[in-house]
Parts: sequence; structure tokens; C-alpha cells
Amino acid sequence: MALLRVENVRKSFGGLMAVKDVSFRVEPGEIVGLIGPNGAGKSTVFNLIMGTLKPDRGRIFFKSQEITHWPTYKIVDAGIARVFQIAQYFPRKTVYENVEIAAIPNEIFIRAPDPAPKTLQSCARTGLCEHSPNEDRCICREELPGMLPQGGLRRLELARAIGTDPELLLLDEPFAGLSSGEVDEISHLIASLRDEGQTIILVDHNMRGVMRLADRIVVLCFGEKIAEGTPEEVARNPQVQEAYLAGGGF
Amino acid sequence: MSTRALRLSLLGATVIVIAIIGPFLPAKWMTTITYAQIFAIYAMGWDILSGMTGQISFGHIFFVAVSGYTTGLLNLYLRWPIWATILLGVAMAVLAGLMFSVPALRLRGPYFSLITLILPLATARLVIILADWTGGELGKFGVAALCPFLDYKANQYCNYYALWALMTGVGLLLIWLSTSRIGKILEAIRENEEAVEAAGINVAKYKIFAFAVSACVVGLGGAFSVHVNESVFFNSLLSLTTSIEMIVASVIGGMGTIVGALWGGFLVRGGEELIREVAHWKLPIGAEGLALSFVERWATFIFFTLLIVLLFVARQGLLPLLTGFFRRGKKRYAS
Amino acid sequence: MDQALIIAERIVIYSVLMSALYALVALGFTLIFGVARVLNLAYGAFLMVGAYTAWFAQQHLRWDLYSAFVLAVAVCTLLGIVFYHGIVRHVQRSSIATLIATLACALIIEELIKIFFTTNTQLLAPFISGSIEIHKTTVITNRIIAFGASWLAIILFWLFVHRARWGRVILATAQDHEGAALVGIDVKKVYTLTWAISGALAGIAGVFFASWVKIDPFMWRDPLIISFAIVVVGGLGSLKGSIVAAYLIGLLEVLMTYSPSIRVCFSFRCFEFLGSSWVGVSSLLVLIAILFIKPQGLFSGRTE
Repeated sequence: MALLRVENVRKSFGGLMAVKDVSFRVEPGEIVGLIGPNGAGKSTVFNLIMGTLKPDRGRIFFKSQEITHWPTYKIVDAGIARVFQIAQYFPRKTVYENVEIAAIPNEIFIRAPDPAPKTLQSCARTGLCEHSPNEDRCICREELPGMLPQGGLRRLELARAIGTDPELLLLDEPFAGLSSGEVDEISHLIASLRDEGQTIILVDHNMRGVMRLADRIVVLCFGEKIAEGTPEEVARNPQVQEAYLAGGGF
Repeated sequence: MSTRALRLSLLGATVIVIAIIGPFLPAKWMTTITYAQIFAIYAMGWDILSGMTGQISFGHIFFVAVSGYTTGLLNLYLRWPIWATILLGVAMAVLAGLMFSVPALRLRGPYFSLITLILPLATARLVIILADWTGGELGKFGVAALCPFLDYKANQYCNYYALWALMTGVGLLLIWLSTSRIGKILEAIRENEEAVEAAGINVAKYKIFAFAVSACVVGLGGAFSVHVNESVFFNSLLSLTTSIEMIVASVIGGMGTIVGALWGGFLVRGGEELIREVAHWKLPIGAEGLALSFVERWATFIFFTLLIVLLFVARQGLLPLLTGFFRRGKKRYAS
Repeated sequence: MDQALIIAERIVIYSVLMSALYALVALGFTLIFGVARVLNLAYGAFLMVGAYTAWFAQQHLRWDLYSAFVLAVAVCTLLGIVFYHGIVRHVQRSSIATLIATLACALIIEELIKIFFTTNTQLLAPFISGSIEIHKTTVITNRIIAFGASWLAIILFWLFVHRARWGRVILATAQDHEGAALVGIDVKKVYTLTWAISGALAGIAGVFFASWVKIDPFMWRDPLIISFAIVVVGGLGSLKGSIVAAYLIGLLEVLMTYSPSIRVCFSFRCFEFLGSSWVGVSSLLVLIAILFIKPQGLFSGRTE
């Protein structure tokens, strides 16, 4: 049973068809790489899955429920989380407080559990801890996000995303703007998340990073799916090679 | 010290001071502080919505008017007991708030603020058209008093401490709310709505909740004010100046801190009275001394202008400035 | 039937006349938003200043109305410039701060007027007194002059913006701030000029408003609501849209205020349905309707 099913989804802006009849499935526990030259429609697909945009046509199913027209928060509550390309955080709250928001439930009139344990768990999982010198306990960082390096911001985004207990994680250009050392670190983090059973869809321009991590690849070009398969199959696909050479390359 | 504890202590200290000085105040100042307490309630009510979520409402006096006219007119014409009419007044204010917030919250930033102005303007027009009932631009007397005492002094004490109780209750509730997990979400909404939505929170629901709480608090203050005045009075129930002063009070005190709004409220109302006091002075200039009685006429203008200047100068607010001195590193949580 | 026709004729003629004035007022308001991106909530107060200046010159300085008119326009022009340099320039960066500042100024001006002129209603002597008959409707002559002057001002403005050099500069700046700065246009000078023109238009409108409504310290609120409604319906920053919307809203206004009012009573207490106490109701209803039906449609800024 596929975790996510995107069926014949279409979206246009004005006269421009950003996504044209795209369909694919994501099985539980795999990492699917969504690649394509600039303007291929990858971010739009994410926006459509997350409910930020509504498709003109087509349907999206998550765990056999149709989520095509659900509002974003409902989709998140159902189990899909997104890491934004440009980090969306709360600039005047500390890292801890940023991650905490994900641990707070949506309902107003209930007795909610203390968000602290979950928050610290998210921090620990994404490497946002400061370890106190004497002990091994994780103390979530107390600085402002503005003080973090790019890699740190990415971890913050991830911490906030996994704080909502997602079953499917959408990573939008997680390697963008990172030094090669940071790329390796984040890459390891993503792989370890998958090893724990997290299902992931990964969008990025860094081909080596995506090819290494992904179990399967879906290739988009000008809004259409032109190829799908294992990284090796896709790399050998002549259409894909042409699209990259013509469209802007690696 | 956690934020909640800090704000509660400051609230506690302030209300204790106000409670103690009551019997020592000259009559005129006792009335002033009573009205200041009402206004502090308005300011705190504004703060829990606009101070926390960043959706700046310009027309909050609307809730004072809805609640005030409801309780006043029901009491005046149908002679219902004031506990019932106050409850109904507040219910009307909350209902109006809910009805308005649902469409209005789809607007962003300055456009939302602009639309909130329509509320008091439309209400004012309605009140004038229905002048035979509402008393129009003048108002109507004969509303039941909040306190049952015949003796003027006893009544004054009763009003003072009744409002004190309301103000303290509201302050406690709002501080608790603003430092609870709900408050954290409201503040997060102010900083980045998209991120909050992406964390699985229904942003619209929380905004509407804040609106309802705000309407309820401001409505309570408004209803009480009508019974303290024993009248429905256009200039106090629909004053745009008061609406702006709510913003000033909260900003000067520190937006989103609740206690700051309370302090700001006292600054605004107390300050205005102080300026009027000046009108009674005589400067030691010239043979007979220079009477400053002209200040009386100019009081509102001078004070309001000062407030606006202060608003833009002290934008960050007093409370954040103060607590900046008290806070050091915040290593609050550890697993 | 005859009665109905007479009333209908009166409504049509009045709305044609009055809407010109509304268009003038809305023009000044939308000009500032289109060019400087500022919603000037004190605009109604500018009008009020114009009206009171003319009245003061006439009553206390014993000037003739034409000189009083010129003085009013001059004062308002100056007011626009001072307002920009003294206040708006410092808060422009934040939309909310601008709204608070301009609204606060309107209230401050209201207070000042209350202090100097009390809350009593004043009347401004008209340019030409008396009234004339248009078919079956009696029209106060001054209102026809107001109509003529409004259209004259609107046409002059249009010519200025499309033919005169500085006018085209203003238009260019409205359409593209960054582009304008890049080609060497001094944006501050453009703003100053725009605020001056906006003030002047307010002054003109203010003097003529006095022949339709009474002068008192609260007279700034209705023009503000009405221009706000016009500008929202016509599209923020659009001249043509504002004129069309002004006539639509003007028609609604006149329909509500000049229709014969019906007295509705419940046990000795009555209210008037329609009639003179319904000033501004049409604008408020339009704004509320738009709010509920299509809030996002409230503010799509095109510039013409």
C-alpha cells in the first residue's frame, strides 16, 4: 500500500503550466528523489502536496485518504511535514522555542502534555544539542536562529519538521547553501532518519547527494514526468541526459 | 525566573499597591483611578489579541460600545438585573467579535487594521439613527448603578474595589493565557504564520480564539463602565481617541506582555488627569502669579499629542526594557 | 406616480452633482496611495481644515468668498507638504505606523478645531446664493458651482498628469518606484509635489463640501469613509476607477439620504429609515459587503 499517491496532478499560473499531469507513488520507508532542471515544477509539486496550493486537476492520496483539498495544518497533522527551501523560523524566539512549537498540539481546550520531552528529542535527533560539560544530557540550544550557520538552520528546520511526528518528510533543497562538510553531515542525518523508518521525498540540485541517498528517482522537466526508476536507470536514461544538458545541467 | 512568574509578580505588586492606596486617595483621584482601572482592562484586552498576534486592531472601542449599549439599554428599558445584562452585553461583544473576525482575518497586516476601523464608525452611525433609544450623541441616564450604596463615599469605594477585582482577575487570566502554550502559538503567529501552519497548527482558529477572548475582556470592562457611570454615554463608548489610546498604552508598556498594557493604561489615564491638575497651578511669575487655567481647555490636545510622540519614541515598550536588565542566560530546560 | 418621478429626478440630478465632489475627494486620497503608497487617514481632516479656513476668513477676517477660497486651498496645500515632511516621511516604512500616525493626526486636528472653534455647527456663505430650477427639481446654485469646479479640477489634474512634465514624472513614479529612482528622478521631490496637490484638492473639496454638509469638528469622518469605499471599489490608485466608483457610491449615497424617509415607530420611540441621518451608510454597507464576500478583492492595487 503506497504511503503517498499523486495522480494526474495539474497546476497552471496564468498561462504557464507549472505541473502537467504528474503521477507517482511513494512507498513507506523509501527515499524518493525528485529531480529536474530549474523551473521543472519540483517546488510546485511540494506546494501541492502540502496544501499551500490547490491543483487545478488531479488528486493526492495519503494513507488512502484524499488530501487534495485539505488545509495545510490538517495535512501536517495527518503526517506529512516539510522542510522549506528558505528556512521558515521564528526570528525572535530561541532555537528551543522554535522547535517547541511543533510539539504543541492543535487543540485549544485540552490538557496538553508537556512539550519539553518531545522538543528535546527533536533537538537531540537533529544534532541541535549543547552538551553540558559534566553530563551527557542534551540541552537544546538557547541562541537565536539568526546566529546559526546555514547547516544549523537546516537542522532547525528538520527538528521542527520531525517534531510533528511525520510519516512522510518533504525535504526541499536541504543541501542548498551548505559547505561540503555540512552536506555530508546533513546527508548522514537524512540517511539515519530513513534507517529509522522515515519515508522521505528529496528535492535538490546537488546530484551526487540525491543519487547517493535516494532509493528511487522521479525526473521532472517543464512540469512533466519524463523518467522514473533507480538512480542507475535514471542516470542512463537518454531523455534525462538531454534534459539536463539542454536545461542547465548539474 | 520564568516569564510567567515575572509577569505575575509584577501584576501582583501593582495591584497590591493600588489596593492599599485606595483609602488614602482624595475623592477626585479615587474616581480617576477607578476609570484608569477600566481603561487598563481595555488595554489588556487589546494586548492579548493585537499585542500577541500582531494583528493590530484600530477599532477595539467597538466591543466597549456593543457590550455597553447592550447592558445599558436592556437594563434601562427592560429593567433586567445587572448581572444578567452584563452577561448578555459580554456575550454580544463576543458574538460580534466572532462574526467579524472570520472574514476579517483573511486580510493581511495594514488592511486588516483598516477594516477594523469600520466597526466603531458603523456602530456610531447606528447609534445616531436609533437615537430615540440610545440617546444619540448625548446618551441616556438612569442605568442601574454597579454598587447599591446610597452614601456617595461608600459607592465610590465599592466601584473602586469592584473594578480592582475585575482588573486583577482579568490580569491573572490573561497573563496565564499569554504564557501558556496557547500564548506561545499566538506569539509565533506574530513572527511567522507560515511556519506555524507548517507545524500543524490551525492558525485561523487561534486568531479567532484570541479575538473572542479579547472581545470578552474589553466587553466586560465596557459593561462595568456603563454601570459605574449609570448611563450610556456616546463619548466614552465610541471614542476613537480611546481606541488609539489602547494601542498607545499597550505599545508603551510593551506589546504582548499584558502587565505592560496595564501600566500603560494607568500612564494614559493618570497622565491625562495630571495634565488637568496643572491647570490649577499658578506659576510664580509676575505680580499675581500666572494662572495656567488655559491648560484645562488644551488638556486633551496636549496630552494626546504627547502620547502619540511617546508612542513612536518608546516603541519597544517599558517592560521589555526593564526585564532586559533582570534576565541573564536562560538555561531553563534540560532532559 | 408623478410624485415618484419627481423624486427620481431629484435623486438623479443630485447624484450627478454630488458624485463629482466625491470623485474629487477620492482623487486626492487615491493619488497619495497610488504614488506614495500611503493610506492617509487624515485626508478627511485636510478637507475640514479647508472648510474651516474659508469660514474663518469669511466670518472673522471679513474676506470675500473668492479670497477665502484661495486661502483655504493655499493652507491645505501647505498642510499637505508639512504633513509629508513633518510626519509621513518618518513613518512611511511601516504601513501600520503610518495608519496610526495619520489617524492620530486626524484626531489631533479635530481636538484643535474643537478648542478654537467649539463644537458648534458653522455655515459657510455660498459663492452665489439662491437656487435655480432644473426641470422640476430645485437645486442650490452653489452646488452646481461645486459640480463645475470639481470637474474642472479633475480635468486639469488629468491634463497635468498626462501632458505636463512633472505630471508625467509623478505618473512614472507611481508605476515604478525603483525604476523612477534609477532614471534619476528625485523621489522626495515627487512626493512633496504629490502631497501638495493632494492637499490642494482637499482644500477645494473642503470649501465646496460646506455647501452640501454642515461644518463641525466631526465632519472629517464621513468624507473619509466615503472616499475609502470609493477607492476600494474603484481600485486603489486608479483614477478612472475612482471616478466610476464615485458615481456609483454617490448614487447610493443620494438614494439613501435624499429619498423621502419613512418613520418607523415602536411604542413612542421612532427612527428614520433613510433620510439625512443615513449619511455614509451606503459606504459602510458597501465596505461590509465586500468584507464578507471577497476580502482579498479589497486591495488589488492597479495604478493609472
